[in-house]
Amino acid sequence: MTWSFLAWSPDDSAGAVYDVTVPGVWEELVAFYAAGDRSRPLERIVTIAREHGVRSVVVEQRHLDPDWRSEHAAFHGQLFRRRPSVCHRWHLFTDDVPADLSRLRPEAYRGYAVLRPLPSTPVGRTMIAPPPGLDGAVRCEATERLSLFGHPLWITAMPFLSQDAEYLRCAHAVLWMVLRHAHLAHGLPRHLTAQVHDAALGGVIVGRQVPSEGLSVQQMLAGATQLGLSPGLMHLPVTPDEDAAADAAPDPADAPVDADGRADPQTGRLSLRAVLCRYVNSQLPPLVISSSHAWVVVAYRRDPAQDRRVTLWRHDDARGPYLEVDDPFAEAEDAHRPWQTAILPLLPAIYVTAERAEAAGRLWFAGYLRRAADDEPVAHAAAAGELTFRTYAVRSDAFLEGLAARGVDPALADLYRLAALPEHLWVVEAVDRAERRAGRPDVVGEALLDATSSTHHEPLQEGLVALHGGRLAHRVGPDHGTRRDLHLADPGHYRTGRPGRGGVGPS
Amino acid sequence: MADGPVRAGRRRIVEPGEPAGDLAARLHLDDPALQRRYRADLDRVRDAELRAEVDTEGLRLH
Repeated sequence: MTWSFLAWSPDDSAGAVYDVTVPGVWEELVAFYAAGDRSRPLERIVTIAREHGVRSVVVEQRHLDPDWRSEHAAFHGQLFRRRPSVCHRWHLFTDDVPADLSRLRPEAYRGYAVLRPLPSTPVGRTMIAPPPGLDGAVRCEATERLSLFGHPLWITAMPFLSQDAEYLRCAHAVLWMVLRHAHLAHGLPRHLTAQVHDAALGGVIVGRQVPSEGLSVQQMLAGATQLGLSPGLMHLPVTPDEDAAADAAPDPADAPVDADGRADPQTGRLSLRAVLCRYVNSQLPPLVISSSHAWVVVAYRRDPAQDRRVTLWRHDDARGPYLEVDDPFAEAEDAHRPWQTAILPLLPAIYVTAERAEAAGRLWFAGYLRRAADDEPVAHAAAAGELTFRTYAVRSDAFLEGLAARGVDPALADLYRLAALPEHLWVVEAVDRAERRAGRPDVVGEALLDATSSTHHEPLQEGLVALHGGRLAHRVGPDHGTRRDLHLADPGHYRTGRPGRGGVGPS
Repeated sequence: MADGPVRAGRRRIVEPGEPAGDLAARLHLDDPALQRRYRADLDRVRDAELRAEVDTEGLRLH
């Protein structure tokens, strides 16, 4: 079906308010926008809204959406049958909104969803607050300010968009989500959907481009690069056995590094969750591809009782935002099998990948552990078999501004604060698993690495900017190689500096 | 220029900590066993990246 202009714009009202506590209103709204078809993303948005306890939906009836306008100019406006160039936009509130829209409370706002005049694929640009089930999860998200009928509103979320199955496919939609997040969280330029489409026309062309029959991975990489990212590509284990092997340390008898065993730096962990979590930690939402589909991993949570168990959430453009993944190795739908490759949306100013940074950080800690006293927290955690590592990228200024709130020793904070630092750091935190399980500050040391280091092994090793082990902290100057040591009398645990909620830096 | 662009009125920041030597040397990071493990870690990363390039040949995502 095609929307008639008058049905889509029935009057000149700027908006309407729906009381969704009235039985049947949600169903009628969904039926109207899906126009008798089924839209899983729209159904998912309604489910999340219900979980938030949304009571009122304010509908902008003539929303001029820049993304839709760009697609309309490039594709939908070229069709014989006309499609409206304006969208509707739902705004979700957990309180009762007066019909004159005189009071729109920011604290009751749970986000918006643009509805395109496309019956089976109506969901356009969406920023909806993560459902309550993601409280406490590590999430990729950013804050957007908007203005609605004279009221400023703010929403913190991971951007979502569904494909239209004609001009935009899943690969375009996930690229857009990551680029929109990068715009809001990292200050990259805004890129509209038609720009994403055009940027991904390069690379190895497979099939028709308009209407789109889908993108090759090379096209996705070319598009992401052209629009300001520097994406990496990483194989993911496709079976539980391969996953376990990717995290397994080699037999110490085969590769001894320390007679005591305490200083074993462990081998680099390349399991599916280990790889993906490093980028969620860094506010760089990783794309995952199967043999036919793509989605974005947007959050994870470690089970407090069983801290090696990690639950993931994804934005799937064809199924909706914030969908929990029960088990990546036992997916119910063909489209999700297997999780075979991750596209890592690194910023151009971050040359080193998370995995290389972590390898260098582990090397430094392996060296440190061989000289650490038994009563230093990092040595104590290693001796108990509870030492692990958490790796993330962060802007240096955000890292420094967050030091006090993390409970970092003031002298150590000064050592960092008065250092010459690159724009971005890779931080490899040494983590005490026992404290993490207990929900207490768990960091016992950290290696700060220059994100623009060479990726070759020796220069990467020399990319260390600072190291805190336990009683010793050390800093290296960039131009003269000036080195300073700080001795801490009573080293303890402190909180993670991971950016985002629960950490530091942009939300 | 060791004293900065202007000598008059310049106050140096009070640097925390104390001058130190090369930490990598003190930690013996050149130990062959550590270096072998480190290089093996980086090799595994490179292998995973190269494998991804091969795995994704010919895919079409829709």
